[in-house]
This record gives sequence, C-alpha cells and structure tokens, in this order.
Amino acid sequence: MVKRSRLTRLLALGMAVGLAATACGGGRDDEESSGGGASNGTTSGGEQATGFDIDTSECTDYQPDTGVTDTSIKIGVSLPLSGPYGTAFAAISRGYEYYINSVNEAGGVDGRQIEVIKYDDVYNAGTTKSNIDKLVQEDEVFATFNVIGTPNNLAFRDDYNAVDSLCVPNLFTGTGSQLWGQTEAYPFLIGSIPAYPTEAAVFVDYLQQQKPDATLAVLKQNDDFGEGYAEALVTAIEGTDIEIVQEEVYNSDSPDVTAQITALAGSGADAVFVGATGLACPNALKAITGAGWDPITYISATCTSQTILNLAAPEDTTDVLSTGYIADPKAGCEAQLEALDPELATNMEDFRAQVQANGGSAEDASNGFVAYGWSMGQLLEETLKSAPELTRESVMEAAYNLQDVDLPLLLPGVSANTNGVEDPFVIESLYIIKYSGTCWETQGEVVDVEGRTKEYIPEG
Amino acid sequence: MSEFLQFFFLGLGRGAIYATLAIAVVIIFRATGLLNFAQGQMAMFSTFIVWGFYDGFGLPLWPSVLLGMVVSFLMGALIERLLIRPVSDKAGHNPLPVVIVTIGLFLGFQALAPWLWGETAKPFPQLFGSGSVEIFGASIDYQTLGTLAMLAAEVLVLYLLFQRTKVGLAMRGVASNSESAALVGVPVGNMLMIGWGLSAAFGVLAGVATADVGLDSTLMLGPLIYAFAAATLGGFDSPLGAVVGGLIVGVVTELLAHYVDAIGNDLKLLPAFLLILVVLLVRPQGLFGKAQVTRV
Repeated sequence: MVKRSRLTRLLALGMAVGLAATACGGGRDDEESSGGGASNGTTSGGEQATGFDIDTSECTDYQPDTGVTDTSIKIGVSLPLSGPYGTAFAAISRGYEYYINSVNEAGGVDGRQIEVIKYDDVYNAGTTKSNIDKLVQEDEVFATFNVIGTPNNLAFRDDYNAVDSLCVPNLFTGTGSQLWGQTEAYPFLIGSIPAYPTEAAVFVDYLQQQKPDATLAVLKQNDDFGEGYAEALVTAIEGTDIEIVQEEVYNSDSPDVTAQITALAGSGADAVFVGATGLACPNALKAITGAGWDPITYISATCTSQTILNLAAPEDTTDVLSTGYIADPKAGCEAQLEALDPELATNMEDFRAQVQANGGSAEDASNGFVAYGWSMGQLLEETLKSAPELTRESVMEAAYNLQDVDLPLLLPGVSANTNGVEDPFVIESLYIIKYSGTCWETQGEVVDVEGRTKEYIPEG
Repeated sequence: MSEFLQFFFLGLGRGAIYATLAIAVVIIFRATGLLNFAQGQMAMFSTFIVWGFYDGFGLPLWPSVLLGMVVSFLMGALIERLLIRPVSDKAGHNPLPVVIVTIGLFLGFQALAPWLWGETAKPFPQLFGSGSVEIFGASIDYQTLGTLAMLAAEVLVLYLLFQRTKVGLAMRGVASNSESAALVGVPVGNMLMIGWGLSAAFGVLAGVATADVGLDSTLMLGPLIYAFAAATLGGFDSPLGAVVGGLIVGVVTELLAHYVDAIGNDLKLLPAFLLILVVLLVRPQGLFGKAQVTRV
C-alpha cells in the first residue's frame, strides 16, 4: 500500500471544498480512493497433539479430487499483478510458471500437466476472496497456491481451509505470518517462508554477539505484520542485556517515515530494527543517513529485493543487515555464491539458463522474486509427486510431511521440513545477511530453528 | 534541545517544499484572482516528465529538472490558452467555471499519470544526495539544506523577474488592474499565459524535492494542502507570505506531530486545517496580503 493515508485524502477533500467556498465559490472534488488491504487477525495458540492425519469428516461437501484428471491438475492463484505491488509480485508468478512449464514439457507430474489459472487481486483482500470463490466454484481447481499477503489469505481461509470448510488445499502461501502455524484448525493451509517472529529472533541473536548490551530502536508498520515483529522482539530480548529504548509506528498507507526515523535517531540507539515493507524501507534507510545516525541497521526480509534496495543510495544501504534463506540471483553477485557453496553457484547458473529457456528475460533470470517463485514451483511439484494419491487430503498430508526437501536455490543448510502440527513451518533456517552496496553476503553460519518457530511466537 | 532542533530542521525542510508549491499557487492567484486546485497534480505530472528525461533518456538529474521546467512552462501556458481562457472569457466575472476547470485538471492529471507511467511508485533520486551535517548538536541533511537554498534562489529569480524586467512590470500591471493594463498596451492574454507557465515551471521544484519518497500520482496531495495553508497564512497575493507561511506551517506541523501525542504522524494535517480556518476567520488577508477593499 503505497498510497497516502485515506485520512489525508478526506481532509484534502474537506479542505478543497472549504477553500473553494471561502476563496472563490463552491467546488466539488471527487477523488478515487484506493482500497487497502484490511488487516485483521485471529490468533489461537495452544499446543496440539502429535501426529498428523487429516480428518475430512467435518468438511462440508468434501470433493477429494476435483480438478484432477488423468492428464491434468488444475491449480489456482490470486495475487497482485497490477497496482502498487504488481510489478514486484507479478514476478513471483512468472517464476513458478517458468518452472511449471519446464515440468510440463518433461511430461508433467506422473503424466499429468499442471495447469495454472491466475487472477489479479491488486493486493486487495476482498478481491482475493472473490477470485478464490471463482477459482474453486467455476474453474474447479484442485488447490490454490502461493496466494500473496496476510490479510488476503485470512480473507478466505475460514471458507476453504478450516477443518469444517470446503476443504480445498491452500498450498505454500506467500506470506510469513505466524498465523500459518494453526494446523489443527486450518489443516488445508500451509505457509512457505520463515515466520516474521523467527526473523526477529535470529536478528536479536546476532545483535547479542555483536554488542551484548545494545540499545535497540524499532520502526513498525501499524498492522499484524509490524506487531508480529515488535512482539517477537520483546520475547527475543528476554534474558539478554539488550534493551528496546524507543518504538515508532508508521501507517502502511504513507511510506514517508522521515519523522519516525528522526524520533528514533534522537534516542541514539546502537541498533535499529526496520519492521517495514515496500517503499517505507528505502525511505527509512535514507532518513537514517539524513539524521546523521549510524546504528546497526536491520531491515525486514521482505525488503531485501534489489527492486526495493535500489530506491535508496548505495551509502544508505551499505552494511544493512537482514535475513535470507534463498540465494540472490542478481547478476554480478556470482562470486558470493561461489565462495559460499560452489554447488549453489552451479544451481544458480542452471536456474538462469532454465528461466531463459522457458521464455523468461535476462532480467527475470536475475530477479529475486522470480527465484522465489521458481522454488515454490519446485516445492509444489515435489509435494504433488510425494502424495500417495492425488486427493486433497493426501496432498495436504504430503505438504505437512516434507522431509529435508532440498530446493536447489536455498542457501546451504536450509531445506523444507514439516511434520504436521508439531512442525507446521516449511522453512526455518536463516542466515544473517549483510548488503555490500551491491550484493548480499551471508554472515557466519546458518541459524537453524527447525521445529522451534513456535517458541518465538508471542502468546496471544 | 537538540531533539527540538532536530524536528525544527525537519519542519524547515518540509516547509521549504510547501513554500515552493505555495509560490506557484500565489503566482496564478496574483494574475487571475483564482486558486488553481490542480497545482499539486500539475507538479506531480511535471515530476514524472523530469523522471522521464532522467530515467528514460538517461540524462543527468539537473539537466532533466531544467528540461522538465521548460516543458512544464509550455504545458502551463497551453493550459491557460486552451482550457482556462475560453472558459474565463465566457464566464465574465463569475469565477466558478474556471475553478471547476482546475478541479477537472486535478482529476485529469491524477488519472493520466498512472495511465501513462503505471501505478507503481517510481524511484526518484535525492536531488542533493545522501548525507548530513551537524549544527548545534542536531543534524540537518543535504536534502533539507538543498531545498532551502533552492527556495532562496527561486525567490531571488522571481524578485528580479517581477521588479527588474519589462515582462515582470507588465505582469504586475495585469495583476493590479488588467483593464488599465490592456488600455496602456500590455498584452494581457500573453501575460496570463506566462503567469501559468511560470507557476507550472516552479511547481516542478516542489515535486522533485519531495519525490524521493517514491514518485506516484499521490505525490503532491498532502503538500498541496500544506501549501494552501501556507498561502492562506502568508496571504494569497504575497510571494513573501508564501515563503514565510510555508516555513511556519512546516515547522509547526512537525513539532506538533512530535510533541503532541494526540496528533502524531497520522493527524499532521489537522493543525494545517485549523490554521486555515482560524486565519480565514480572524485575518482573511493573511500576514502579508492586502485586504480586499470594495468601493461602495
């Protein structure tokens, strides 16, 4: 949501009318207001029993194999293809389409072609819901896949993914909310990327090694995403000498965070955690330089793409920290991969060639979002292949029983692992990464919190 | 103290942008007695043009800005000639139709920019680079310093233009009394075109100074409101008033947002809005404006 706040618009409208009336006569000003994603969250915590076997008896009108024929499997996707988030996120769908294209050309999954139907939701949760309705009811897809955005997935999970719903699989959502760990209530939904609280915990761990008594300033977005970080930081610093000295909030509608950063800089904290996404990230980095502040800076892993970093100057982004689990395909950064793991560098070369062989541009071949989409396509293929039968129940069980699935572009030591309610999170190993001004470089060893993500999720 | 100063500087930087846009508003108001509601959106559109020269044609930043100002000058002049004047001629002394046209322009530019350049916010470089200097224990970034210097230069250029050139004299004549100006041979229509052109050209400076937060069609919605507050406070017919008003509005809103929790960053517009109301009620001509006197 890159737009200025709706309040700004309302006041603007009121003022325009008022001024017109006072200064020179009446006037009306209608302005289209852009819909932002609603943010609402439900959290149900609690420890669950071990073992994972999906019971479909509570499902309403359970259709085990809709969308599967002898020759094809239909998969539905809803994501922003236009609008402020369109450019960046549309690349994700190109990524898995290139991969799926290569799978289909090689004969598909057990002789079945994967058919992807995708609709644009402009990152608007309401549109996501109607897209999913259409995908399931009219297009009759077998499963939905990699739907992007926390509010967007929340908009339909009660109708389709809950234990007493239509029970349609929602595979590998494109969001890192900790809400995707509620397997018992929502067995037909599974996440993909590391949960935001895990990221926060890994950063605190690193900060403690660098500066055990650091003071920390926090910038957070005023929704579930920002709160997730902020609460996780409080949990993570318990028992350490790290202290959060100041916290500032920004509205996701207005990405200019200069005033907030100026306030944080006033605290003179040793480190700053930028729990922001989109344009607010580069703006925060610029404002930090502008305030003459030189803290240890951490930015959300959602901001690590080159598309976003390039919005700030090299002197703003140099030495910025984040976390990463997948290799950055940026052209010119091959040496970093080679040094880390020669095999990874080979895999990356292979990825580039494959993307271009399947209709992608050279730009796509060095785009991090495409690499993520590509890897999600591999995960989908792997899951469909490993399911004993192509029923919705069986595929979800397979997704919740991934064992050391080693996707080629994941960093060394990172793999996809799940184990039902015990371990619902797909990727739980992270590196601290540092930006050199041109490339991301991993710092130290992989931090493996496999099966422990739940420990970092605050109660509530 | 240094915290206060820090937010004071932040406010000055913002204020310089509001002042720049307020000057554009004032130039047209002086010439025509009208508020151009599309001023902000014209500046936004022009900033896209600058971005086109910079990103599309790969020109250096400052030449792009200058080219953008030239194109915007022509655009402003054409708008006056093709859209404003025909309506104004028909409307006689009723200002309403022209105001409606400017609101139409507002909506038009608002829709045209995403149609031409897409809805995704464009990366726009910081005009004055990244970095800061320390003054009295507070830091002030290059962007703020640069914007203030740019504002000062703009004021100087306008002063020289209006006070030291024949065109400026003619424009002042038209602003003061267009009928008398016409009688002594001043081409009133051309002066109005130049006024709109100048206003559009200087609006570019406000746009490029604020676009580094990400350039999209909503860029100037907020600044326009603050610019109106600045012009109201300073007086709609006073360029000096626009500068002083802009700086005051910038500093006051940033300080209030920081020190009054109830206002915060989300309600920053509220003080600007209240300011407009209070000035219009108590001193409608503003700090530096001339009171309207009507002969009875």
